[in-house]
Amino acid sequence: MHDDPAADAVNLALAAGRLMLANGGETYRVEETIELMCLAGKLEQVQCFCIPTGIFFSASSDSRDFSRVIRLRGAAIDLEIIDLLNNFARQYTEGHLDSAQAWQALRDIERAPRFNTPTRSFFAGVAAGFFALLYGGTLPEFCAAFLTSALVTAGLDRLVLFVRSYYIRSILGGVLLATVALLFARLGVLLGWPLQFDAVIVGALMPLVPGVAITNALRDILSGDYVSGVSKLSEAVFIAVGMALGTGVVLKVAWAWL
Amino acid sequence: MAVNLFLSALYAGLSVLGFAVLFNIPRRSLLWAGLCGAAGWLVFRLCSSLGAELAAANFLAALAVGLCGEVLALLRRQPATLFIVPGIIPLVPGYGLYRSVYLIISEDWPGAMAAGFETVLVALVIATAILLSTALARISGRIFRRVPKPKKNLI
Repeated sequence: MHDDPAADAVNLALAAGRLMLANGGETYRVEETIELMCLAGKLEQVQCFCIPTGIFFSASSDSRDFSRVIRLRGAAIDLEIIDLLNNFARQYTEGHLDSAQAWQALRDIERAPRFNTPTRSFFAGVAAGFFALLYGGTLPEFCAAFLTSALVTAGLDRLVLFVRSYYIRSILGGVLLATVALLFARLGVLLGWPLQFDAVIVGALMPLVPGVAITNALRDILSGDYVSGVSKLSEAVFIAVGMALGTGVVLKVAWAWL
Repeated sequence: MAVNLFLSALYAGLSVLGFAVLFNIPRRSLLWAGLCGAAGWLVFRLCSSLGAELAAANFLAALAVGLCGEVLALLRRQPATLFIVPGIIPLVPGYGLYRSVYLIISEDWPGAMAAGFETVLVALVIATAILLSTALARISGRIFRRVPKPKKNLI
């Protein structure tokens, strides 16, 4: 591998692109990064087509042609890795890194620290709590939304390890969210602290619903990346379907009983 | 009124800060992302209270977030996405999408239709505003800094 610099450049560019895509990088950014890195590696006829679930690539050097397909399942959003990869690609294309340094840098980026589950739960709670306030809640709704969202985030962080389908995860997330929110509502009534249930639900849902996904999908479509746009759009819609089914079942059963 | 406005912008900023952690933004950029979100929500509330319609208010607010993001990207040499993605969270119609589906499974067709159209409209104007702010940043970059044209070997 290392005796052919062109092959090495291709592998490096695709490794960086794959890492970017797996951490929620936009498809146009992945394409651009791979193309620029390959051009910096003296490759010609570089073509890269990226969609949220894969990368198609071909290029040629003096001696041979390259064609690669990378299949990817499931991406999480990690903007720190996108930032680091952006810097890495800039340094690499400006020629500040040799092959060994570049591979080491990529390995370091892949192992970049992320916030652990308790921290994520806490901040999901912060996000949800203040959202409940924005939607007309007061202190009781803040507390209920905070705790609901923190619990659901902790639960979903565990669930990711066992359930591969994002759709099933959305349904289970919805069920968990509605159940916990209902329990807090009952608790509120018992303590003489009635909750505005809608504000709690809006707040707690906020970290889970695909708002950014649907906006990014439309942005892709509007900039001419139709395939990525449509596939992101379908993902966003079916996450919403899953969440609505999950919360809907619990809420309807609860309303019928109570 | 003014106090309410700034209080709600503060709430929005803190909420965006929470989201910024969920998106694992670099620590040194967290506060800036929160500021972006607060600015967007401030513009949104201001436009709404001045009588702007939903689409117009969302458009102007998203434009504010996008421009804030581009300026921060320039100043801090980081991708603008870092500030824009969390910044548009309070505006983005994730809940609207959820509610449309929820109303469909509740068999409330007119309600679902209304919520669905509203979701599409809001998502569309936000996406347009973000694209526009990116384009404006590129254009002003060309004018003020005279960056050489990016070379691309197409042939």
